[in-house]
Amino acid sequence: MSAPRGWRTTMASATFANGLRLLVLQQPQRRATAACLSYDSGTRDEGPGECGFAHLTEHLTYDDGSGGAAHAQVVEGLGGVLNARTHADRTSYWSHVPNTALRTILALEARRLQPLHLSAERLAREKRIVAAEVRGRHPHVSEAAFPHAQLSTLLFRNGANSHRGFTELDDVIGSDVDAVAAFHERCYRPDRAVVVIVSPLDPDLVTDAVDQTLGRLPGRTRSANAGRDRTIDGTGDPVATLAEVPLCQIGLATPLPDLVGRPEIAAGLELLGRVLPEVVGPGPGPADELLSVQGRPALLGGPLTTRAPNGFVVQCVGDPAVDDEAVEDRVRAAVRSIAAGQADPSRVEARATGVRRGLLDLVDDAAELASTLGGILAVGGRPTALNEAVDALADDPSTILQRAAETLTGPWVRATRRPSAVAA
Amino acid sequence: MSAPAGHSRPAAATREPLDVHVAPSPGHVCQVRIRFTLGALSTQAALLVADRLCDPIGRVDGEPLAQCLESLGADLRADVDVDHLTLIGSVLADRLEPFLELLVRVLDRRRPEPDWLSAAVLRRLGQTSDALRRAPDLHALVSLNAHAYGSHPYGRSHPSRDDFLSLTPADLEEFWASVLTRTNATIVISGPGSEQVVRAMTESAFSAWTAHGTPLSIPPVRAVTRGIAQVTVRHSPALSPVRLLWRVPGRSDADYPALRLGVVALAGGQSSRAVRSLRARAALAYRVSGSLVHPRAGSVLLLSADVRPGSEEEAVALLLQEVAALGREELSPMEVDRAVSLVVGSHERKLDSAAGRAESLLGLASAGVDPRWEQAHLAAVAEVSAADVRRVMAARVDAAAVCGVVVRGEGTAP
Repeated sequence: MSAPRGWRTTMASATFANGLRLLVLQQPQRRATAACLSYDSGTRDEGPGECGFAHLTEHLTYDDGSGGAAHAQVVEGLGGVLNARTHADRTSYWSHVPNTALRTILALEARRLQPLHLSAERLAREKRIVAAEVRGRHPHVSEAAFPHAQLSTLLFRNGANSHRGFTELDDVIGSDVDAVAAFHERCYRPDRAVVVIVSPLDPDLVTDAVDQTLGRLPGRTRSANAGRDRTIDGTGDPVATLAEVPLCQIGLATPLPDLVGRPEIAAGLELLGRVLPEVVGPGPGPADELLSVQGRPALLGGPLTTRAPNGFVVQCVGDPAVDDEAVEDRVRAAVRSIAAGQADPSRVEARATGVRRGLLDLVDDAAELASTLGGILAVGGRPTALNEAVDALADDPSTILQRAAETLTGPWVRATRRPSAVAA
Repeated sequence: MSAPAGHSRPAAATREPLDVHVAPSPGHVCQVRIRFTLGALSTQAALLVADRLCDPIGRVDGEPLAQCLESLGADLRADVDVDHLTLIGSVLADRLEPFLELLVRVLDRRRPEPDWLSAAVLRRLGQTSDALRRAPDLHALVSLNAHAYGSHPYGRSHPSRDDFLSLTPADLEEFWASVLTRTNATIVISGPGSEQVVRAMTESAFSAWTAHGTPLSIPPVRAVTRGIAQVTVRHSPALSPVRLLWRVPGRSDADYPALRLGVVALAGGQSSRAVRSLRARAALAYRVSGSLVHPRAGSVLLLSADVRPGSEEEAVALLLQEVAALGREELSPMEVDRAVSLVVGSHERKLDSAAGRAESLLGLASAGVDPRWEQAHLAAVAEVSAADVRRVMAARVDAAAVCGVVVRGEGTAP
């Protein structure tokens, strides 16, 4: 068995008159077709009074609103599956269907780009479902979850980046039809969308199908964007909250530069997350012991889609009484030493193999691959970003690690949770 | 493969045949699964062994496991269910052979390490388990299993802190000697490369592992307790879990294809009857799902919904109405087509990735089902009529015979 260092596939791309972009990956071995329509819009497009609108709009456009799950019925009637997800920077709808169903699902995607015809009754129903999802997924956000949500609030003062678009429901509950339709009009536009198709089908045939279903929809005039402020203005004020958690949880974050178009640095930051725990170490004594350290470049936005403002996050779990300020110092010192080239090259190379395997794992699943590439393209990345990242990890991991660590020059912020008994 | 320095093994032990299954798949990554059957042995011993086997700082030939995995760029974790302990690994294809050799070294020790039952390990596992059991989803499952299965081993599916603290060295020795054996192992590998080469590589690597024992079994479940148990918890969950269960025929039963279509029409996918009823029309829930699951002691139909507090009775009534309707009226031709397409499509998607192939094959092989069963099943599903579905749902899934639990906070008691 042999594995090439990277990953190669036949790609074709197109941009249509209405601004919609297309990437087709032809993979002859596939038994089904995956399609992902990603919009360059997410919670960071939410302005004042719109907290949660991106997620709500994803729900409202997910189906035709008849209450009969018509969209799902068509896709599932063809033997496919579908789902959608809202991120800070993008909203993605994907489906994984038999190869013969491509045109049908593209026709369904075209409906999402039409103006939203929304009744008050439909909005009220979807608000209840969104509330149920948020409460089900994030039942303990305000109490015992890792202090992740607080980090974006500490690192960014601009509301578009610091607000909690998934967990705060007040604006969603108070929304009306006009406000939500206006958000949809602003964000769900052909020129803010990209389609990625992973399929054994001929790329010309796929391009033709997308042109006829989505590429000829009317474009729209650009309107002002409510959110989107790229200011990084971290306060650096630590917060400590008490909660019924068994151990001390320390969240640290520092701003990241814009990594769109720099996949090797994004890969280097993923690698930094793997290397950091060992360099930080367990701690000088029992009272400073850390049980786990995890780092990743994903405060807002996931792997290889790190558009600024974003943050490199480090999560530490330790003894209930651990000194969080000392932990922050140790993490910052570890980053500085890695930036100075002091990481053991053989260990770095070994860890890079794991990161590379993780990226190649994404390639295994067609829907995951379409969704990942859709995310990369939606934020302005290159279609080859995944290949470039995999190759960089194979070629010179120590250099990309060092260059990645060198980018972390901004302020750090810290949020800590401790068991209430310890703090008292 | 050669034995690493300092590693000992019985000199001339007889090797039992190994149950190895290979699913070739394109790509760059190999998925490896090793599943052990637990029989009627306790899940607390399985969870402890799983935790210790995959402990990143646990030593394998003097090196921390994390370091061994890191040098291969591999990933290893363990999963425990009521029937199995499964090791789940993933590695770049060109490092499969040393990864398999590492797995053998992880498994090939005479007995559990003495410190596995240390107070710190048991306390941590117990605390984690108790914390998980407080989560509404798992709390509902624990309650459902206890209610449905009573004194059967499935009734104690998720151990508490006290269960961990009660583990003795003898329990662990017994578990190790009887479960972690070639006899009780099923190995599945999916990835690039020819089946013959991968099989030979696997058998060669595992030839060093000689542990053998006797096949383990579990008493069958003939019936589950009827009725819906009301479970009240002190901290009100944001959503109230509703779980309904029926004992149903297994995969070898002639009624199974029609049963599967009925269940897909009922609760498979997002346009099923239950989802449309509870989510799209009544807006009681975000997540509604249902599927046939196949524990070794007997297959069950499980329906799940997490519903708005205060709407639990309405949700249960709606779900039972949908179940009863399937036994009363025939599905529309469109519903039959949709269900068949979903079953076939699900099979195709599973075969579209190495991980999907590995999971699919593991599910069949570890249950003793011939991997060719799937093709025969798909052919049978295509022949099922709406009348077949109605007949089988009426005969095999009686809404009145439901076993279930509803979990809610103190403030929303009925």
